[in-house]
Amino acid sequence: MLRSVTSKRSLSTTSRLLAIKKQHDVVVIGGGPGGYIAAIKAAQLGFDTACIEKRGRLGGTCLNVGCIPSKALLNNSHLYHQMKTDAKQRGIDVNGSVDINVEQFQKAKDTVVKQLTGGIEMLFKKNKVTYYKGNGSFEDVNNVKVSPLEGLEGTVPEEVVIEAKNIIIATGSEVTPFPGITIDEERIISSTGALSLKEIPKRMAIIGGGIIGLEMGSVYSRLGSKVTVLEFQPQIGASMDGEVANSTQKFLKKQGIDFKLSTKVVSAERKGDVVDISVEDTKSGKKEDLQADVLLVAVGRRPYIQGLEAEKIGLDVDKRGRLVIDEQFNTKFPNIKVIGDVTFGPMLAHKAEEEGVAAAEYLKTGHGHVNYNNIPSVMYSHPEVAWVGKTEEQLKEAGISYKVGKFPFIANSRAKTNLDTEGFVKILIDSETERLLGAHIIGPNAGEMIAEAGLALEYGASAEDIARVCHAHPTLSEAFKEANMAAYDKPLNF
Amino acid sequence: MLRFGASRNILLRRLSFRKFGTSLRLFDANAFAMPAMSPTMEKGGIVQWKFKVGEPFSAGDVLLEVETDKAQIDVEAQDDGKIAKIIIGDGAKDVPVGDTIAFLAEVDDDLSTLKIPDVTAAPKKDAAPKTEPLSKPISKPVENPTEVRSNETVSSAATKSADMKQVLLPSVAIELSLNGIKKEDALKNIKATGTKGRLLKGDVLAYVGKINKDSPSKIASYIEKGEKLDLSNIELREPAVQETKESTSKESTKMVKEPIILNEYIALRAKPGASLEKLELALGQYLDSMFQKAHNDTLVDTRSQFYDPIFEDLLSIESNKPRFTLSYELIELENEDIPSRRSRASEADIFDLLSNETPASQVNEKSNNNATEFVVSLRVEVNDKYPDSMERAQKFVSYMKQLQL
Repeated sequence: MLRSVTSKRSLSTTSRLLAIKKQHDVVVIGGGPGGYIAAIKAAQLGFDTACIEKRGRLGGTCLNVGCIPSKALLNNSHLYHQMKTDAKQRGIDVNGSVDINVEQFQKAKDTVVKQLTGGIEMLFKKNKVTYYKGNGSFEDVNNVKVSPLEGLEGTVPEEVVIEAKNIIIATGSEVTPFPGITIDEERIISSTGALSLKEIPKRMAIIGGGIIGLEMGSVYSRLGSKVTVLEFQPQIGASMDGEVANSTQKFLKKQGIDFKLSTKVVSAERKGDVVDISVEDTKSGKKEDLQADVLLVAVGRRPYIQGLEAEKIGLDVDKRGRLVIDEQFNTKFPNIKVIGDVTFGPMLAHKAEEEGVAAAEYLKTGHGHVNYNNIPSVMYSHPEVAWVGKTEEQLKEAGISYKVGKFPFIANSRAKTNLDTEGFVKILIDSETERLLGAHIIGPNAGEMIAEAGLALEYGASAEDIARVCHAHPTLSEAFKEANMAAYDKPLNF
Repeated sequence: MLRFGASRNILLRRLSFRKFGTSLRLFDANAFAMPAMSPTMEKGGIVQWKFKVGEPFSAGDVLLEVETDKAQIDVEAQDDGKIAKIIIGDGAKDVPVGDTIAFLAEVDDDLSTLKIPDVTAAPKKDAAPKTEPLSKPISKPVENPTEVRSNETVSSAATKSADMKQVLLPSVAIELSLNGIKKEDALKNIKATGTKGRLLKGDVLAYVGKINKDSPSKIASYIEKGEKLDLSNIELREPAVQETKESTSKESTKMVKEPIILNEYIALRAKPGASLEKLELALGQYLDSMFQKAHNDTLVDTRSQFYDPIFEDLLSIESNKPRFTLSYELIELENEDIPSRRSRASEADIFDLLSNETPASQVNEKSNNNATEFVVSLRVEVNDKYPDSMERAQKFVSYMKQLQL
């Protein structure tokens, strides 16, 4: 006698729970620099706004594993390096040794990150932005589901479905993996791992001579690692002006960083505590093997839409994984906008912030402002590199007739008193109208100085207009003024 | 440690190549002119060449030391190369800026076959323009008919009437006063290319005829083009995920992919008195909890110091979506005698109901006569959308196998 019971089950951890329904005017998916700014701005403009974040801490890549922690490491490693190498000539004798305490070094960074991410949560409270911790995904064009995430402190207790009049997607980007190389975040690391190494590697190899690679290379080079940068292109610095990129490479080389340009990484494999890397010269095809204790893969970032269910509602995605938008950040659905790294344009925190503000303003007034010709880039090496507007290469390609004005920091009084005179300011202007087209700075505090160039670009200033603005003496910014003088007339102090 | 003079010369050199064509670049040595180390410098001395003829140098190396009336300054190489010929040697004084002092070659050029131009015939264009030492006009736009037309159409959009209330830019105010134009007249008559009708220096220069009339609108429309995101030529990704979605909704008509299915038969031996219904209930609960467990297990080593639950979570795709679905059949194999005694425990879990005899005791089969044997036919369909589906499904099966005899 055979008896049987047949049962079919289709289970899901969550589907049995009855979802809570909520309503908001604006829902922002993602709490990074684009998303949290969009949420605050929308709330300030009078919308009932919510922001969904699944990381557990606001601030996105930038605050958690990007700009902010890396700057903490850069600044402190620079101080250490200066004390070690530079203090004597400045008349500061250090009695006893100057050493790095890796644990405290990392703790100093973590404290800043914690303070800043916590600060955004306070800003949400202040501006009455409702904050949902959990994974946001599309139910349909008007509904976003927030699902609880296991192990995430303060996550939504159960599924919440938010009906929103407007949705802003700001899910950001993630590290692009290198095909064939497995990142274990121990010996083969991404930028995320590079921010929290527990010890200083003796030899560090970096795939990618872009901003991330060079910044992290600077940190560990100052701390004593022998750093080798492997770059596929014949030039470092990604979209930098060619001349600036060459000078930057020279300054970094002087600091002890090795460069292998036009070099293709063929393979990299962890063998115990070392990484075996084999590379090939793209010009000669010559193969070479090298070894490092840590390999940093910094070949860029790619849009991140995992868990969003964008495909469920049929959002368009391009070949590079970006969500497709129009000039007002609209997707094919008029109530869904996309901003930041997950869509077009440079992957920069401040670009995403601008778009966040503009997106919120489009919702309120139908008008928003982002000038993509005027988005500065900064590399926080030492000397810093900053630029905005067009490069010489771009002007040549467009056939624009231009003039160059340059002023070296060695002729700037403040730079000289600081014993920090590497670099120069380079100004590009239209040869006839003398209108400012681009500004490129290598030098101390370049990242702060570039703001002046941005202001000038925004208002269509000519080099003369900048040169006729009174700059305080003695400051580094006088070099900026003099470079503008050099562009349309002659500098006074050189 | 200055190399501005040197780099200018190289830029000018590049320019001349563009004019003469590429064949020159391959065979000709490049003239290296006496650099201007300051805007006022007209002559200088050569203290010392740091490289010999034929010796390769790389970008950033100090090529030579130059002496001005103020100081001795190092001149650095902008590009890699080597010296083909030194025209003016160490110790020379009063060399005019712009005079050819050496010829440079590419690193891999063969000096014996390299054509070194006659010094006197060296193009005078290589000389730095002395009047504008630090500024240089480069690459004039190519005038072709199509480009001009496109510029004309945009130029009308880039030019506006001047905002009558504006505060003048310093350059504009000076240019107007130099040309004796009153502010009111200027705002009335001069077309503005700045944002919101702001009058720019170029607008005034064009108005007074110092520069080409079209220059301000041309540059303004060039700048305007860069102000917007380039959303042209977007190539959409094939909506692969969407297709499978659609096909599953129409799955009765066609199946795109053969699903991965794990089939497993698990033999159970229940204690005497365990009924099929009770076992079914307990098994259902166990299945539920193992289903959860297989989904919640961390697949990486949590003891690693790099383990961060939030990071793992970010990496995992849609962690709340089921990785597999399952169905099963519980079959009673033999039922020698339906026990009269019913089990005491009303809410027994699966392990209470199963016989806890070890396989070793199977030798003594006779004593097991009262036990009932069941087979669970398990069918696990793996959701191939996620990379960790297979691993989790296998974990689930292994948990289920724990029930086996």
